[in-house]
Amino acid sequence: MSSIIYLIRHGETTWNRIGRLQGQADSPLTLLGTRQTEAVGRALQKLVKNQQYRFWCSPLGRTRQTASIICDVLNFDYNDVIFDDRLKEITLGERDGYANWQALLDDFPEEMSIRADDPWNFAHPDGESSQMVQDRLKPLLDQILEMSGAHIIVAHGVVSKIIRGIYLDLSSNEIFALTRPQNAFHVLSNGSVKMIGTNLK
Amino acid sequence: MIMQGPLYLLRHGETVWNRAKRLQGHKDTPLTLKGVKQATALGNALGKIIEPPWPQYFYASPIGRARQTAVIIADMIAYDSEKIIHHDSLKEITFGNWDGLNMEEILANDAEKWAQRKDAKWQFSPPNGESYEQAGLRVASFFSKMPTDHPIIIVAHGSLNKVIRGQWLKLRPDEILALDEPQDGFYYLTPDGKETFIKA
Repeated sequence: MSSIIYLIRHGETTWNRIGRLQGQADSPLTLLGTRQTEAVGRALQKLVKNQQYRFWCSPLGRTRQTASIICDVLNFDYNDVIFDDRLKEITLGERDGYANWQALLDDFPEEMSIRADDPWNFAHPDGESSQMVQDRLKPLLDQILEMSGAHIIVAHGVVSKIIRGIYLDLSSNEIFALTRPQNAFHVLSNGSVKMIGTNLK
Repeated sequence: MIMQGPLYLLRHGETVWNRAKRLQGHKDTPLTLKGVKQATALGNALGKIIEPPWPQYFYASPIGRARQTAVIIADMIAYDSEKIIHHDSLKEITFGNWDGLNMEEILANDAEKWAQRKDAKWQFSPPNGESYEQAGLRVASFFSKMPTDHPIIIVAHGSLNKVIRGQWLKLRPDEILALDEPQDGFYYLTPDGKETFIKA
C-alpha cells in the first residue's frame, strides 16, 4: 500500500506578521493564523473523512497550537499526536528571534555574504544549514513512507519545503523557490505534490 | 489596592488540559478550537465596552495559553499585539509537583497532602508549589507598581484572577476561593471596588 502525506504549515504568528525571524524561537498565532488553521482543518477534513491516519507534529508552540485546532476540527484525539523533534523549524542559532532579514544583512554583512555564496550549506552561528535540516528530515520521511497509509504532518515553512524537496528529489535552488503558504496545505502522493487551498488569504 | 482606572480582567480560553481536567499551573497546553472561539468572543465583547483614551495598558501572563489568548483579543480590538506586556507576577498559581496531573493521579500519589489542603486551602502549598497566600503577595506587589490612572487589560489565569478580584473587591480568603473562573466572559472591575461580569 502506498502512502499519502498531508503536509501543513502552522498558521500566521505575530512574528510572521512583523517579519521577525522565528527559527526555534516561538510566538503565538494571530487571529488570522487561527482562522487559517481552522480553514485548513476543514479542507483537510473532506480528504481524510473515514480514513485512518497518523498525526505528526513539531513540538514548538505554534505547531502545537495549530495541531490542537486541526485535531478538534477532525475530531482526532490530541493525545494521539506524535511530537517529533526532527520536525522542528530550521534554527538560526544565535539569530533566532532577530528583528528581520534586512537587519541581518545590515548587522552581519560578512556572514551574509558567505551565505550568498552557498545558501544551502550556510548556517548562522550555532544554527543549522538547510543541508543539516534535510539530513534530519530524510530518515523521518523514509520511516513514514515505509509505514505506508495516511499521515498528517504539522510543521514549519522551511521544513515543509525541504520535505517536498526530498519527496520530489528537487535541487537546492528548486527547494528555495517553493512557496510556504499558511492558508493552504500540500498533499504528497504517488510521487507528486498537490496544493489544496482555502478561501482565506 | 487603590486604582483610579478600570480593569478588564480576562482568563485564557479553554485548553487541552482544561478539557481533560488536568491541573496546569506553570505547565501549558494549547487552546482547543473552543478555546480559540472563546478568546475571539472575549475580544469581541471587550471591543464593545472598552472606553478611550488609548493606549490602554495591556498586560498578560507569559504562559503560552495566556499569550495566545492575549494576541487573539488584541487582534479583535485592533491593539498592537507587540505592545502587550508580559509579567511573571501574572503567571498561574503553580501546583508544583501536581502541575499536569488529574485528580485521580494526585490522590494515587499524594492523598495525605491533598487531605491537608482541605483544612487550610488558603495557606496550603502543594509539594514545590505555591499557596493562594503567596500568590496574593505577588499580585499585591504587581499592582503597587502599576499605572493607576489608566484603563488596564489583564489576560491571566483562573486561580490568579480570583486573587486579583479578591484584592480589588476586598474579599476574605474563603470568599475568594468561592469565586468562579469563567472562560465565556470576563470581569470589569471599577475604581469603586465593584465588578461586573461581561458575558462574551
